Amino acid sequence: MKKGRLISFKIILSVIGVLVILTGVFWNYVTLFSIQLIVIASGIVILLLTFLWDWRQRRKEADFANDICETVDMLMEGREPENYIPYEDSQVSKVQGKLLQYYEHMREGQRQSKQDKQIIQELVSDISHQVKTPIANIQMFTDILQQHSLTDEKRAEFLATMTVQINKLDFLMQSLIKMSRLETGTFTLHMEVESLYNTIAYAVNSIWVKARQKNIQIDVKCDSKVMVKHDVKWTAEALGNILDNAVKYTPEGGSICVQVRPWQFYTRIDISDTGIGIASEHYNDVFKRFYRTQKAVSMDGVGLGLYLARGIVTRQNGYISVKSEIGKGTVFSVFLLS
Amino acid sequence: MDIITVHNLKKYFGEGFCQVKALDGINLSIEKGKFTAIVGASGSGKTTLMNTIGGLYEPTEGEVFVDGINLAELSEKQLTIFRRRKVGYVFQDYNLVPELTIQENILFPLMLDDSRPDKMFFSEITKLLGLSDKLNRFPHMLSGGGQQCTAIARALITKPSIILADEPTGSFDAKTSQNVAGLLKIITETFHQTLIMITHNLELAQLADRVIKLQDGRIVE
Repeated sequence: MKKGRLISFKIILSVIGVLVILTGVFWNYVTLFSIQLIVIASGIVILLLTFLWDWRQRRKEADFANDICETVDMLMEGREPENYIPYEDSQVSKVQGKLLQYYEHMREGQRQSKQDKQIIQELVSDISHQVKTPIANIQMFTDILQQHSLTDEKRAEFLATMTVQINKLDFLMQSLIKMSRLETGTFTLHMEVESLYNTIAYAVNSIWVKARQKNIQIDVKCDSKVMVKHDVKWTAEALGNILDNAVKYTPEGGSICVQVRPWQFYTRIDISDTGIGIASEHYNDVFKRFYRTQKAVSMDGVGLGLYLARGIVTRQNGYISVKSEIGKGTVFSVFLLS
Repeated sequence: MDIITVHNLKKYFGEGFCQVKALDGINLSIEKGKFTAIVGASGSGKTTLMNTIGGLYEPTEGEVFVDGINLAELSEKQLTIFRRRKVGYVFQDYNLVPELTIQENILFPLMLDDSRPDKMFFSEITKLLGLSDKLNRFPHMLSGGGQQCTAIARALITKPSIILADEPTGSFDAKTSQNVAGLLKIITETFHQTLIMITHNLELAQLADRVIKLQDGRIVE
């Protein structure tokens, strides 16, 4: 319809143009009066067409604005827009498409925040669960220490047990603080081009004693020249957590290997162990907060290490993948942007 | 929430004795914002499934809904616009225009849609994909990985909701494959896009939130 009008516009203007040209060509044969008439008529027609064009342009703009307003109104009321013809080749449809995309983003945000609320509730119950046992232990030993007369030896033994429980609480507290900083995004990453070798050395240092106690051999294959843009402190923390996990689930006399391979876009750090392994259906689970496999329940720990490791690596635009064979060992691969 | 729903999808090529059942009754829903990997042997129907979802093939039977809209109800012209605005494609062989610079190649889809580029977004994705300093070069001056990154940027520039990647790392060695797939994963996560990637490589499939295995045109998850 609109196209038809445009064509008639064109035809009228073309006819006027042709008339004016013909008048010029046959100037000598045309009377002055006819020329006068043609000029006046052309002028009037052009003027009318200009008004019409202007009016139609305004109408078009108003229609466009109305269509968009209608869409926004419906979206605000949470209804599907009725006047939306998807994927039509028009400006209105283009803007409506974008508005719907934006609306979906908002809705996704709402869903996310709802989900977050639920996660926080679960978190609170998880934390209270984690805190309960050490506190109960401490309470029990405090009672015993207060109410019974004990030998110095026994007293020292109970105090040592209490210290273990207090350390456990402290560890949980530290992990929670890190987690909260990670989740609220309040920690700032100091991304610098630094030697990865040193970062790995920090990480290995943190588990060295534990590994020696279990007679686990640690092998690091990393060129000291490998430079990667990363946050040394947090990356060491992430790698340390993965290594700590490896030490925990590797039986005595086993081995752990850290291998670094610089690639074009990523630098790959493989941390392999000869531990108990993870079933493939739990590959994703191990990175979840407070997740612990059946076999891990008896071990020390709260189930935050790998969750933190993944968070730290992801914040640096890297990622972690895992490959494992039950009873043979696990390889965690950390990919950092080169 | 599902962005793509496929009901009893069948796609046959040829007729009678020569008929090939590329897809033989696929039922599938794909969640918004997730990374789905499609794996399977050659000829199992991976590409056909992806192309049908992307509106490139018309199904023989069954329906494909994208964001609640049945693709069968769209006219040819609407389908073209659907592909232009809703979907970003990444192919194995990049399909870059050799005569255009990297920047022009990336902005090409916007030119088709007569849209203005979002400068911030452009610089953000080119930076993430390591192309910032190569914008004035021509495709042949870049490595395979670099060219594929250009193709990824081109797929992203229109901010589509869905990225369809058909063996984007098919011609690369293991290292570059991990690199490119990792970048695709990160970038689609950053911009909340749904990524569907066909791959032969099971190690790459591990990056995905969900792996769909196809065999003889059927899902064997």
